[in-house]
Amino acid sequence: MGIQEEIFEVFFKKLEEDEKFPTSIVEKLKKLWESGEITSKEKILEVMKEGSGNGSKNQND
Amino acid sequence: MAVKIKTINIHAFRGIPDLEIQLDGKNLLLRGENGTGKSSIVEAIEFFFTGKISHLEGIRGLSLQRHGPHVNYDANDVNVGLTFNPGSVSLNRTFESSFSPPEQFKEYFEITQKGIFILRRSQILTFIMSNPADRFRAIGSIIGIEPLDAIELEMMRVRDNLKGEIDSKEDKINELISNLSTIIEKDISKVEDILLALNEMLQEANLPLIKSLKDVDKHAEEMLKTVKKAESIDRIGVLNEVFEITKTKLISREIIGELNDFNNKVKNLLQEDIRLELSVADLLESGRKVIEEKEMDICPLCEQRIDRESLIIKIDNRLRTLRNLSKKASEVRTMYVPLINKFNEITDKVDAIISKIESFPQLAEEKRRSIEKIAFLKEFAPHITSAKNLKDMIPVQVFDKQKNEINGVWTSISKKCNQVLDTIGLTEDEKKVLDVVRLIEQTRSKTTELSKTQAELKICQYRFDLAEKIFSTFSETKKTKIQGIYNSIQGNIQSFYSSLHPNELHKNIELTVALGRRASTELRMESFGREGEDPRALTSEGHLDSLGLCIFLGFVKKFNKGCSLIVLDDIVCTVDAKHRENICKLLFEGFRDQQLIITTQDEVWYEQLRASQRVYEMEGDFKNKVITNWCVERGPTIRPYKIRWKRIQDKINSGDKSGAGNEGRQYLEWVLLKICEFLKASGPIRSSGLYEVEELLIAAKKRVESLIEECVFKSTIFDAFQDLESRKIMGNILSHNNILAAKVSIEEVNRFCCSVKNLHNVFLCPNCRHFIGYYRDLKIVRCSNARCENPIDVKTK
Repeated sequence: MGIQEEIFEVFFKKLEEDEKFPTSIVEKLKKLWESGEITSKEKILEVMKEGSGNGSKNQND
Repeated sequence: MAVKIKTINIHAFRGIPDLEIQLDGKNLLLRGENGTGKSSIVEAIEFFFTGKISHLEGIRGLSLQRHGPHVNYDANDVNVGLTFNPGSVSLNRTFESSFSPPEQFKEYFEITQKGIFILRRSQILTFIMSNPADRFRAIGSIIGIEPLDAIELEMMRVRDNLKGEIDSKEDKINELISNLSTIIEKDISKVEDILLALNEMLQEANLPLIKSLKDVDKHAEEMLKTVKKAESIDRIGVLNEVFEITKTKLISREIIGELNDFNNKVKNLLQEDIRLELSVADLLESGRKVIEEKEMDICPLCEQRIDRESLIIKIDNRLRTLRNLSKKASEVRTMYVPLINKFNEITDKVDAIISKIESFPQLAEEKRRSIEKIAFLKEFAPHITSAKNLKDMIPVQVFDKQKNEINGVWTSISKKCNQVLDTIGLTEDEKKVLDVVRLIEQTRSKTTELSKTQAELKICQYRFDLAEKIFSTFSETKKTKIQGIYNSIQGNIQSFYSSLHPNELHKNIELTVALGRRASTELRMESFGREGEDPRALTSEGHLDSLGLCIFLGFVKKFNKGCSLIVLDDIVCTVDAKHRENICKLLFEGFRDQQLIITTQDEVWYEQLRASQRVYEMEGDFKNKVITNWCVERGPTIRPYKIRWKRIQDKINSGDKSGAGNEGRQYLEWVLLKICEFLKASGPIRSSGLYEVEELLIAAKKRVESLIEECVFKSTIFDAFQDLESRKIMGNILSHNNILAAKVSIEEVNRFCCSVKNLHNVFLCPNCRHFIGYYRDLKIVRCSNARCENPIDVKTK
């Protein structure tokens, strides 16, 4: 596993371990990373907006 | 079995028309004077593996396409081919085509294609002398984390963007609360205060109270019905609404202050060398658009053939760097969002009023002027975006002038509405009710907006928290990982450095990811008992160069495990002779299994490397070569290394007086330097490696005179010195463009060279032919070879 992959693995794990952080956003970020689209601010913002809905974690998961 | 280069074939590349170097999997030691093609060979190897020449990149006017091919050839002729063992696998790269390495070489090529097997002095300087951000980039390219930097930057931008949204919403909420307080004439701090205040007012006017804010619309409608007959209700309602909206000033004075603050921040950024860069950014953006949309394979600027995809990637990277966020740029982006939102809000308000006054001919002039002002606002908004993108500043004065005119139109609408309402003919009681209805209408509108904005703020705040979490988690993970890598190689770097500089008070070399800064690496070490010092403050240039070499080798050891190749291109020019010997030791002991390609113009370093080959019994593992000549038509002429005396004899036999004289003079310089080194003569040893023969000769003689007691050995030495002194003028005449050179015979040159050889011989141990040296503790001069079975041994004074 390369260094980039190692860093992303730890990064996603840390987000998943945070109970307050919506898992749907983590999943979407993973997809962005896999598709190479995580370098786009617009895409990240889109994921945040889709995943955060009205501001409640429960509603998003 | 490790992958090793067997053959290098270079055609039409840089200073080389055609060249083949047979390595047979061995190391290469190549010496040549400046401008004889050494670097062209290194560049050809780099081009073969990476498809680029790193030092041609990022410099305006230089390009691989234009400067890669040999001057007598076209880009299409360029071809660099390498054959590898095991299996004699041949691969070629041209400007048009690359290669796919076989599966068994995958790991080797994955590393070499990053280009981190080559060390040049310029790279050493990047490790040591550059700022922490450039150092981070240099190291980042070695450990393969460059793309992470861009990702981190985008995450930060998302966070900044959301922070801007929050600021904008908070400003709006404060403004709405302030407006409500003004309308109701009571201090309002939250939505709940509004109903209470409204009812107090209704009670004072003897009007029915409102049960809930939800009923406000219905309540106002009921009250309006009591005012006039049905057909006038709608018109009164609209006029009433417009009057209330336009009663408050449209553009506040504060917005000018905000625009000026924003401008000041932009101005600072534009003054910091970014302005010039930005013009490049525009050019790159336009160029990128043209290349991408037209699918061009020829550069629109220089008309050279281009690799479109890789060029677009390069442009994108460059653009990203140019747009790279500083803290100030981040602030500018954060400030931008509320500012542009305010502008859009003003435009929306004017737009909404135009549609409301359309059916009132009395307000036709106001409508026309409002349309004009909308056009101005829409034209002006891009200035704010342009300033945010650091392209230009906002023309605040233009807006300031227009602001008064826009507010004037707004006030005029308000006055006209009131006049029209008067013409409808209302009684005093009706007017009183109408005033209350207006107030309720206005309160309702502001309250609805306030509730909506508060809900939006909540979402924005939540998203910002998430974005902050994403950015900080990623940033921290990245820093921890990189620091882990630094920690894992620091031991090696320190150990390499200590082996080069034993018994020196420099230790605890630390590479640290700079705290509080994105993408930044600090280099510190303990010097003379002072911890955490910047090495540049306390160490010599030679020390810094050797530290850079140690950092490079530290990374090679950690990351290039599957790659045997190390290329060192002229890297020791500032390191003195003693420390160069230590570098030889480090390379030959610590990197014995690698395939080393070492180039140099320095004869002393070349000889040290050759001597080390003997010491480490690696003579059979090296191809020692010398570039004897270079011309543009034929490129470098490479010959196998010959021992110096053989070279001199060959030149004398061929009648080459000048060549033999030069060699003889260099031989003399080397012999004298060695005598001074081994006898520990004070004075002449210089880190620059540049010497005058005369001063070396004086120092050597003086040392022998003061050190050795009178004996046969001393007499022999002085006879050799005397013999040399009588002939050394030949060396001087022949090594310069001296008009007397033509009169010197080849026999005289031969005698001069023999004198040097004779001097050399008297300082060699008769038993093992190693140099004799001075041993201060034993007060003797003896053979420097510890394993000599019958060493020469002379007492000193």
